[in-house]
Parts: sequence; C-alpha cells; structure tokens
Amino acid sequence: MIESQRRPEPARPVESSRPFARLVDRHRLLLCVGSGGVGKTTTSAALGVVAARRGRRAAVLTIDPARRLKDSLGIDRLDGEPHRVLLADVAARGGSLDAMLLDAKRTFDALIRRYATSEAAAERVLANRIYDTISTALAGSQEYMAMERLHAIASEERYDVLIVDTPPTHHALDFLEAPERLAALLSSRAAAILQNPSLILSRESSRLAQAALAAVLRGLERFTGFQLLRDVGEFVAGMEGFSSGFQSRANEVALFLRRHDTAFVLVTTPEAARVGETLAFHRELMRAGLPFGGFIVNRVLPAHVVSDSAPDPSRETGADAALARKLALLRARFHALATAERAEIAQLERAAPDAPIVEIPLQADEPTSLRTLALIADALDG
Amino acid sequence: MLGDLLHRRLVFVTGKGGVGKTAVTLALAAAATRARRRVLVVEVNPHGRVGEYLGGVTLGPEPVEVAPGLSVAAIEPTVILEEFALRILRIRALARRLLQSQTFRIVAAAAPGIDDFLTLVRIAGWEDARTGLQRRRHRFDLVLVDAPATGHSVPLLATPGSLLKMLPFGPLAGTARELALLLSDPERTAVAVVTRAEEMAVNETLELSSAIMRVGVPLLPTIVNAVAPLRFSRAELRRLLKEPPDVPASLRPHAAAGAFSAARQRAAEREIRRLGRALATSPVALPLLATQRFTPAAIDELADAIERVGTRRRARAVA
Repeated sequence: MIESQRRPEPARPVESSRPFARLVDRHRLLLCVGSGGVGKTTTSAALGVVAARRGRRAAVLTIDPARRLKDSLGIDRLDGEPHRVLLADVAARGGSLDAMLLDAKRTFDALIRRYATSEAAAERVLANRIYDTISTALAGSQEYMAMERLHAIASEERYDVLIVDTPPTHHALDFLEAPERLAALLSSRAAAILQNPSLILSRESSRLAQAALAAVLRGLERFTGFQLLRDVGEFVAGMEGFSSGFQSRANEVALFLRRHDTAFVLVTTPEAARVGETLAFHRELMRAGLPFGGFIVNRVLPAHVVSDSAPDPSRETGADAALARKLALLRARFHALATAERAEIAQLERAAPDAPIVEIPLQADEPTSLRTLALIADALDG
Repeated sequence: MLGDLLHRRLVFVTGKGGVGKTAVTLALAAAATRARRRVLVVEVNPHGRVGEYLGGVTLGPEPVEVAPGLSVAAIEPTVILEEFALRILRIRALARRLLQSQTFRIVAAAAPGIDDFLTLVRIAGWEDARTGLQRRRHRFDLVLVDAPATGHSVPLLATPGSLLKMLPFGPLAGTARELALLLSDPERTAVAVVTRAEEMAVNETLELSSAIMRVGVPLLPTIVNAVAPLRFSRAELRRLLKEPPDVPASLRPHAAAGAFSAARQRAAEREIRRLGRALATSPVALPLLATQRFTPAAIDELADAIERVGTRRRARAVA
C-alpha cells in the first residue's frame, strides 16, 4: 500500500505486513460472520487477543450468552457490562481486552425510554403484556437491538476496536436487514390498523373478507388465550412516534456498518459444505457493497502431519507391523484430506483474489482455554 | 442403537450446529428401512439439507416416497400458518392475503409458539396416519424429525407444556394435552442428540440433554458422530505420544501424523467417557467418513455403522 493512501493513525506498533494484524490495526469494527459450528466465537476472541497484543483497547462482543466465550476467555461472567480478560504482556503496550454481551432486551427498553413521547407512554409500553414477546420474538428485533447497542458502544470511544461474534446465520446480512424489517413492521399503516382493529375490516372490500379476517383474528386470540388484539393495539399506540426515531437510528447504524474502518471477516472450516456457505456469504457482502476484511479458515489439517512424500510404511514387518499399517492408513487419509482442503481453500482464493486468507491449524485437542486461544491468536498474527 | 430406534414411532434428532444432524438422521432412516420399516423423514429447518443429501430431491409439505420405504416431507412455518388460517377461513386466497398483511405478522409474532405448536400438530398427524386400505395399519412405522439445532429444539419440544400452562381449557388445550402425552411416552417417542467428541460440543450436549429431560421427553443414547475410525492401542498411544515418539527409523517420517492422531484419539476418548458418565448411558460412536460430500452412498456407509453398533451391543449382552 502506498504511504499517502494510509489513513493517519495514532502511535502504534510498527505497521505489520501480516494481514490480520493489519486488520485489527486499521479497523474500529470487525464483524465475524459464519455458519454454526465453524468456531466463530473462538476466532472472534482470538482476534481480540491479537488486537490487545498489538496495543489496542479491544472488546469482543457477542449476542449469544453461551458458555463458550466465557470458557475460552477464562472469565466468570458475561453480561451487558464489560469484563476484563486477563492477558499476559498486553498492559505494558497499552492494550486490553474486554468481553461483553450485546443485551438485546435491555437495549430495547432503553430505546423505548428514549423515543417515547412521555415518561407515561414509555411505562405503558414497557408494562404491556406483549412487549416481552415482541421485544424478543419479533423477527429481527434481537439482531437490530444488538446493532443498536453496538453503535452506542462504538460512539462512546472507550475502545479502539470492537470485534463482534455475530449469531450463526444462513444469510450473512440477516442482522443488517433487521432494522428495516422492524421499522416496516412498526410502520404507521400497521400501527393505525392495530390501534383500531376495525380498520382492518373496513379496508377489505367484500363483506366475506371482513368476516374471514375477523374469524382468523378471533382464532389467534383464542390460541394465545388473552386479549391479544387489544394488547397489540395498545402496544402499537404506545409506540406512536417511535417509528421515525427507529428509522433514523436504523439508517445511522446502516451507515456505520459501511464505514471505511469497518470490515466483515468470514469464518469457515475447510469442509465443502461450509466453504459453499461462506462463498454465498461473500457474494451477499459484495452485492450489498459492504467492506470485506478477509477469510479465516479454521481447523485446517496441519501441514506437518501430512507425510505423503515419505515412503508408504505398510511394508514394515516384525513387531511394528500393526503400527506401520495404521500409520500407512493415516498417511493415505491425511493426504486425501489435505488435498480436499486445499481445493476448498483455492475456491476462496478464486472468489476474492486480493483478500487475505488465514488458516488456523486443527488443534490436537479442542481449544477452550486462554492458553489455546493464544495459540490461535499466534496463527492469526503469524 | 438400532433396537432403541425401531421400538419408537417418533424420534427427534437434534444437536449443535455442524455436528452432522442431517447425515445421522438420514443414516438412521436408511438403517430402519433396511429393517423393513416404513420411514418418514421430516425436515423442520427451512434451510435444511435433506433433499441435497438424498441427491437433489425437492421436499414438499406432503410426504413423498423417494426410495423403497423412505418418504420425506418438509415443514415450512408459512405453509402451516396458512393451513391454520385456512382451517378457520376455508378459502385459500383469503388465508394467503391475511398472512401477507403486516398486521397479521405483528399479531402472529406476538402469539408465542404458534408455529412450533402447529409444527408438532403436523408431525403428530403423520405419526398417527393410517393407510387407507388397512385402517388399523399405520402409514409410517417411524417418523424421524431432523429437528432444529440446540437453541430451538427445546422450545419446540416444550411447546405443549407451556401452552397448557397458558391455556388449561378450551379447544386447543385438548390438542396440547395429546401432544404432551405423545412426547413424553417412552414407548412411542424419543430424542436422539447428535454431538462430536470435542469438549465444547460435549458441554453443549450435556446442557441440551438436561434441558430435554426437564421437558420430559425420553432420550436415546447420545450419538457421537465423526469419530476417527482408526484406533491405536494403549501401548501404541504411549509410544506415539512420547517426546520424541518411540518408533523405528522407518516409521519416523509418519510419527508426527501418528502423534497428532493419538492426541486426538485420547481427547475424543476422554470426551466420550465424560459424556457417558454424566448421562449414565454409553454413547454410540459413528465413524468419520472419508468423503467430504454427503451422497446417498455416504449415508449408506453411515447406516452400515449404525447396524454394526447394534450387533456389537447384542453380542456383548449375550457374552
């Protein structure tokens, strides 16, 4: 990269040619995206370790309050407040690593208070029986609130870099589209109808359709066992005026995700099915014009165990014949696996020839401790 | 394992994302069809891979026989919601129109568990479906559900119970009570949790299993998928894990592979033991297949392994 293109940066360790070190040096927001079971949580935490080691004040944020992150970071608690991860040799360089939960429910509550026309209106919404369900079950509300909270944390400037472990998804952009979906649902048209459910009937042209809609709504009411419609109506009435606030916040968050110092990191394993999904995520990112930071390929068979250049040991006779046969099987198996993995990784390279790809070797034992996390951080930084 | 399965009529297969739930579900189905059972595989996940693994079959809302004795169907929340609306409305065009409205979506989102409930109603309908000619004969001997991953399977199984708490009377309470009876009946129903012999996967499996027990649905032995088929003996493990490995010069170029594999075997064995101790049932191990892509042939290979597990257990019982 040419000097003049570089963004002015505060004093930092020497500029690194290592792509992922550069990634944590130059970005304020890294979003780790991938399908379930690829080790996204561990990888996000490891990126946090890399950033802290490079003297950055880093935080790793997750939506999923699973034990995994706590286990691998060696912290007892994970909640809406930052918890410091104790890392050796980072404080001297000015770096630090915090872990935090993006607490959707609490964020929703705070938003209701912020955008309510009055204190009383806010209390009405928060006390509504269906608020709990809406704030957690409504499609996209969790993701939207996570993005909202993320935006708030980023605005505080307490951290140099935020690393987000996004929820497993089938579409990389699910959580990006969530704000728009939520705003649409709370749009004035739906709101007007729900404040006065009879409107839904008057809109329908035929009397038959009116009767039908009324029947379905009654069916739903019976299903839920309470005066659902009235509750929804009350809830939406309470939300009056929020909608425009939501919309403008949603736009701000969307801009924030497209900033030059934001990057999406795609995490995968070298298996065919996962690489296929990752390529689909990559196409989605490109289509949406979102900044792509690189691929992290987790659990790649380490090169030092592939011994196909050495002769086949199966001819060994005598006391070690049984062991030799097993090692020969292993040699064939690792050769096949390594070949298949290389082919998959080559697909990623073809999809994004300029993007960095880092491979994290498969560990003989599963990484859960801070020590094994440091090993992964070495691979990312190496 | 196969015996446990063949005694049931409804088995949910669940587990952490990426452990191979779908492959295991289809392998269990293949093993059951070999034992002359008529099997229905139900896919609940809208992004599921059942069709792909079967070699490009398209799944629809009605069961279709794709191989002798093997039928498949998918459950789409939008389709069952439409059916629910249709049941009340009786005119499909109206039901569709209603479901497309924003208002309905807010209302439906506020009605907790409605799609889970309707999913279970549909599955239970298949479990109980009879053939037209022989009224007393079930249409399927075994319904295997490729259930959602960990996070969503417990709420799904808990739906009848939570609904009954909310709605102890009324027309839906009767259905909920029947569903609760079906799900807790060890003669008919069970859950098979699929996992891997890795520490984090085992932790999640233990949490999931105790959550399922709390809901009251019977558990089958845990299935540990993708266990490396190559086993070193105790003595070989000791030699390979020595620093440097204790092998003759001719084997030295392969010692790193051996040591790596030995360390993985030891970790996997430790995790399988931990799982067995915590759940007080020996887990069932299925081998890691050499293939990376799931094809009908790979499913058959996994089904062979399931059959072998059954034989080994019986042999041990006889001995």
